[in-house]
Amino acid sequence: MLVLGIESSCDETGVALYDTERGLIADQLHSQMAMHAEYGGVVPELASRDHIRRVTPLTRACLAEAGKTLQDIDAIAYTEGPGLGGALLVGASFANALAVGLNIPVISVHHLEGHLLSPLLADPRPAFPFLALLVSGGHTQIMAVRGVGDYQILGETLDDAAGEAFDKTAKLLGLPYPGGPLLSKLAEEGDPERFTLPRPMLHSDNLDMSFSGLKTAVLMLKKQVEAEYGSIDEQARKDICRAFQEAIVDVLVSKCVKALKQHGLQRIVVAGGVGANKQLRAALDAAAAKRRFGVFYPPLKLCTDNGAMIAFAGAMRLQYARTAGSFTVKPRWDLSTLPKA
Amino acid sequence: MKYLAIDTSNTHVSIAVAVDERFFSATLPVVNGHSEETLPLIQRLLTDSGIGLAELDGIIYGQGPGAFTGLRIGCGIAQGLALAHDLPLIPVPTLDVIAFQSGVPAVQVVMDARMNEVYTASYRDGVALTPITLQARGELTVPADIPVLAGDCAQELTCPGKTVYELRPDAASYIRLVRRGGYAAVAPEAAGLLYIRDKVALTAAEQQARKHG
Repeated sequence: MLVLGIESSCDETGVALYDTERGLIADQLHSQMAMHAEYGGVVPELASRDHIRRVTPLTRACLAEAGKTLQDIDAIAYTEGPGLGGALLVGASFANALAVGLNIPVISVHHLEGHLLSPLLADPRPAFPFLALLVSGGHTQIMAVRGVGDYQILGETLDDAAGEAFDKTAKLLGLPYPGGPLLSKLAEEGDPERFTLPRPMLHSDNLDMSFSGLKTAVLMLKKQVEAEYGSIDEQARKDICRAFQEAIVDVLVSKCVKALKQHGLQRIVVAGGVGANKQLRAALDAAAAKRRFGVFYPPLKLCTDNGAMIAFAGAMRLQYARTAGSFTVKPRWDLSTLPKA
Repeated sequence: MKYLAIDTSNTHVSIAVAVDERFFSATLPVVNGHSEETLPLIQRLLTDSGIGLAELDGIIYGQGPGAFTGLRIGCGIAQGLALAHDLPLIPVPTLDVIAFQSGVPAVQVVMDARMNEVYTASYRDGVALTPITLQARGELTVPADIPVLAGDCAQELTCPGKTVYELRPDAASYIRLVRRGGYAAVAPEAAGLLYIRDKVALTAAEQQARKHG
């Protein structure tokens, strides 16, 4: 079965082809990051305008990459939510119309399920059950995953998502949008010993997290350094970035280790944009070596939003394929309400 | 020639299928959203007409201006259907269609742009005399030699001395207008929209300037 996947929930248009026999055979992506940079954040209306320009050319490019024609496609999967309503509607409109035109079914995909299952596109792929750490600009959740559609949220952020904390802190430190990845880069050259920031909820007895307080802590640290040295030099900025990243990584890794123990799981799967963070990967790898659990990451390319994970999640849910036509989107959609596949 | 026309630019959905001189069309108020109603209506009218998508010579869609989300649903659907059967797409400005529907030689066309503004242009003999612009409802001026005001919010505007036609774009009229010629077909990947309101957010620099200004 050949499944076309279409992602348009935020600021990336992704179109991919997943073959249930051969795996991922084409993956096309257009990121709008540069367009939104001028505005200091994602402008929903501009995101929608760009999706409608990109979706058809990307679909053609995808078919060309795979050496396939539209007639080879058996079903079309698209992101139904959660995400920006107007942006989701572009992908949903195109997907449903193309499916009506080709007389093939559509499959609605939950964006986070796409992320969650994306490590299964890597080699080696993790076996169920596993613990999933979903970390992105919009989400920070720890879940027990016992199968496709069998998700139990064990803990989550009570305020900012980890990626959001990265971006907001970067802004505080005067880094250009989107600051998160740049902050991580600067942190690599920072001294981990110079400053220490608090680890919110590190010792709480549950698996929830909180990252919004870290911003305030960074702001206070910045003021303190400014008072002491008159200004923040490049190295001081790198050292603050490092302290911030150390705090976030420490909380994420500690909560994951705690969750593995509490729920008797042996594998952890990391998904979402922050899953590309080098220090997070290094810390998880170190903890895994020490405590003898397995860690799985999606291919680096699939950490951001993409069509591949939507095509793949669609292929895992072929039994939910339906006749294309009338459609809605779900800007808000609770992952734990999904049926088991 | 066989055409499908789609308009989702406003509070209604209007679809038409024309097989030579036979027209199958419907214009309905949207109750549950364009996303739920547009494709099923297209499918119903195609069934009524007895032709399949593959037999069409082209798909005509309302290019805008109008409600952004509605326009994109129509354009996304047009692109998807056209791509499936390698059909050409024919974009037509919504205001051109209203000018055509008015049936008078000189007309000022208006479409609701929300935020107390309208999209507007003057037409004579089917030709736009001015580019489509965005104007405040209270500041709309209609040239003295244009006796008619037409559009989907015409009745809500005060234009003393003008004859008012409340009209919204009708899909069958798109087909009749295209058959008169003058509208170029494009490939699905080149099928864009005409928003007119292009300033939709402040840049980071403008936000800073506003904060300190």
